Amino acid sequence: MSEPLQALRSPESWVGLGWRQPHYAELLQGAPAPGFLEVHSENFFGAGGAALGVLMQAREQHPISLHGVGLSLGSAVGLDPWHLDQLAELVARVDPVRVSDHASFSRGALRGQTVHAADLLPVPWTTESLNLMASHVQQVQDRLRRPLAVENLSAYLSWADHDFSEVQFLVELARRTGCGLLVDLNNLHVNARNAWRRQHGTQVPEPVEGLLEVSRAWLEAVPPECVAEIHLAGHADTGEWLIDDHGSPTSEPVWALYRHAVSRWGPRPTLIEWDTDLPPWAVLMDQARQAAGALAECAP
Amino acid sequence: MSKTLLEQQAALLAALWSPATAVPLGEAGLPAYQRNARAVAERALAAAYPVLRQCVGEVTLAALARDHWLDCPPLRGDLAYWGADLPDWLGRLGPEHELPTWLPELARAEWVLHQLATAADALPEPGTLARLVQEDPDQLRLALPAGTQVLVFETAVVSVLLAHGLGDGSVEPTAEALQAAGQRLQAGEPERAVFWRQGWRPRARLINAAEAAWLHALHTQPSLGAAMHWLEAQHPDLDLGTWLQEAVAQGLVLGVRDAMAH
Repeated sequence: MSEPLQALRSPESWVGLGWRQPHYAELLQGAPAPGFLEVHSENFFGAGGAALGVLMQAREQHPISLHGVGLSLGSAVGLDPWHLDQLAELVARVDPVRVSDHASFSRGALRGQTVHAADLLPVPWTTESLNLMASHVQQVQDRLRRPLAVENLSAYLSWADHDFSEVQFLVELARRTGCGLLVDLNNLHVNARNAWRRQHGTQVPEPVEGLLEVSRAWLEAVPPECVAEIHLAGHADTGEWLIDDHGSPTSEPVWALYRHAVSRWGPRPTLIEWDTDLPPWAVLMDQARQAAGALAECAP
Repeated sequence: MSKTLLEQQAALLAALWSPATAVPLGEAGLPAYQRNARAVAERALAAAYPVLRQCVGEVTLAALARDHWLDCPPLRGDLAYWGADLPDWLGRLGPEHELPTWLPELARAEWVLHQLATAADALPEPGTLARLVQEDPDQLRLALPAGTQVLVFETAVVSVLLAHGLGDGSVEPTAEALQAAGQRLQAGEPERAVFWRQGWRPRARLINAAEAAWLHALHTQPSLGAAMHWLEAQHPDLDLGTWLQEAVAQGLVLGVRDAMAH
């Protein structure tokens, strides 16, 4: 979208909500709607059924963003053709405003077969890994005939091998393939906090401002034109670790990162992710309004 | 492809699937992923097998989900497809698990309902029924919903499913229905049932041998006329007029199409 047209959009129109089963009926019956709805692609695979029917009904009135968790873009065993077929069929049906997935792997060899871990496992930030993921992103984009947005992870493991930092890896992926980046600010914050705790233990107070500075530096390394979407979410604190569980309101440090991000990149489609312990829809809408307010306040 | 990356990823998966690598709660890293896998497995099985869950309880289902995940990892990136092996896997469990002997058959029946939930949609075509009195049945066939199938069970597990409202959550099982299903289970009565989808709702009902044969004929014979001839020879007592009326009302027959349109 050109800059003059961007300026005409209301802040609210940039902000979407994850739309999950407990809120299907409420929205379809006329509850206030955000700027777009995000659903998990895999929940709508299959030839038909109630879930797909509900989604097709929603798409008549709301822009839909398809967010995947299972493409496994970084798998050394390759993409699953079945998965790509299912996604392509869904994209053709829904005509979403965005299609996204993660910079992760899930598929791999186990006991003589190829399994899917149903989780977002980290890949090493190596040239080999980048070449592989770039070829898979290109394969997906060629099939879907649209750009993919690729999201940074919250990771609880890291590989010793690396040729790049995470952000260098992702920016280079975007440069090579033309894909967008889906920047999850909660994941950035969770990773920064957990890295501190791994290094210093939990007894040493965390330098909140210092950790935010680490994440801001990450954001500064991303060219604005690469940013397709921003994710905001809550996390759980087990006392030792932060877990990206999407089960609470967006935390203040993540709001601070959001204000920084939009002041640097300008307005970007922004999603409030809330997947566990779902609150009433009105609470999600409050989070969306808060995001729109921050966007209005901080975007250049 | 470099062997290194393949091996790195395979090594991580092997660690995730090795119970021996589990470490106490509260530590992140590998256990964070293992805990998530357990939670995901429980949710996935509970969604696919709601009646089985009610029969064995939350704690047992959680244990089954954890063990099944370790033995039969998902092969697809859509967890709705994980659990297909559960019936056979349950059948291989030893008596030390103290599970009902009919549980594998219940799982087999419930997986069919789970699959029907995402079968292709189809709308009733009531306007086409008039063709039954206007045209040669050798040129026609009855259209049934996608995924419709007839299954035979050695035990009364369909009665158990029906007593639980097929697990769709809208029906609370009554004590009478549960007692009747329990009696049929104890009596060791085999059951036949047809499974189909009416609108968005998976359905099942018990059928007799004649109706099972008729549904089989509709599926295998080249036309409605051929199926009727076959039924006449095998089960002349089935009243097709009454059957058709009920089947249309229940969404088991959608309409009438050309025999060549298979």
